Amino acid sequence: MDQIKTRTTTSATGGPTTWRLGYLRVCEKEARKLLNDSQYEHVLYLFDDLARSDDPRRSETQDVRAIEDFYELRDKGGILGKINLRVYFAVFDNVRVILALSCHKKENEGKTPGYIKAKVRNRMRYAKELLSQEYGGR
Amino acid sequence: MQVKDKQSTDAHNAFSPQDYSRAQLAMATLMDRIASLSQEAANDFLAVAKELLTNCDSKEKFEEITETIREILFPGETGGIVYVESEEHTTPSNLGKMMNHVGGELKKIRTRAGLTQEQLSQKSGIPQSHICRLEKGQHSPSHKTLQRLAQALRITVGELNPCYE
Repeated sequence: MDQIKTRTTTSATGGPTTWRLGYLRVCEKEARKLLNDSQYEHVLYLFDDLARSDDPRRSETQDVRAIEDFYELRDKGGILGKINLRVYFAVFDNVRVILALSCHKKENEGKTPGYIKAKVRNRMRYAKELLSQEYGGR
Repeated sequence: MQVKDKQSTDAHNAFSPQDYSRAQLAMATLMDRIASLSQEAANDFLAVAKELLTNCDSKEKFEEITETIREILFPGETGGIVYVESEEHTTPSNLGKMMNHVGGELKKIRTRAGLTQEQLSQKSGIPQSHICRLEKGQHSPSHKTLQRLAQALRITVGELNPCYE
């Protein structure tokens, strides 16, 4: 793959990112199936941006909406072409982690289907367990 | 009618006693797994199972729902967490070119409008540091960011990024 630029991740003040950014492997698999390399990297930039913010739930630069106790990052057009993208993520304040849980292409502007919410809820429960093991029950 | 009966008999005979034993074992394992789910997971399991049985109108949805059921029953199969470490990411050339283009256009239009980055930040609500990174081609902007900048500069989003035209 032809690559021309190296991306560094720093906060608005030049220091390290405010939040640790991660994703579930299954989410990456979904994203890779849906997006090409440029589009995938674009989405990483969007999440980088959230990781720099004080509160990723209320971003000035990203379209973030709350769904139950997780969140949805929306983007469309530009490098994404006709893809109307939805990435579901969770914010774990206790360990300062933002975790991408699921990636979808929105087919219409309706509400998030129940089965997708159930899937994200389930992944969130699982992620909580993993983080609890990693951070020693914090 | 005779043909149909024969087909039915053949289908019946296609399963050996071993197949039935395996199926029974699989069912027992599955029932055991369902019984061990937390209340929340069990509720989600029932909700998606109901959706599968009553409201599944496409192959894509069927696959999505069955995958969700599998994940609920066996969450470990969703894999672990991967953290995005800094400084080790590279930008594919298409995206890099687009970022440079948007950055160049933004700077050109902003200076033509006689605005500093700080003034554009105040007008658009986009942090100055973010505008700075965009102009340097160090960030790939979201649609929301481009909309806010375009509105503040009284231009179209397409003037900043032709991909939106």
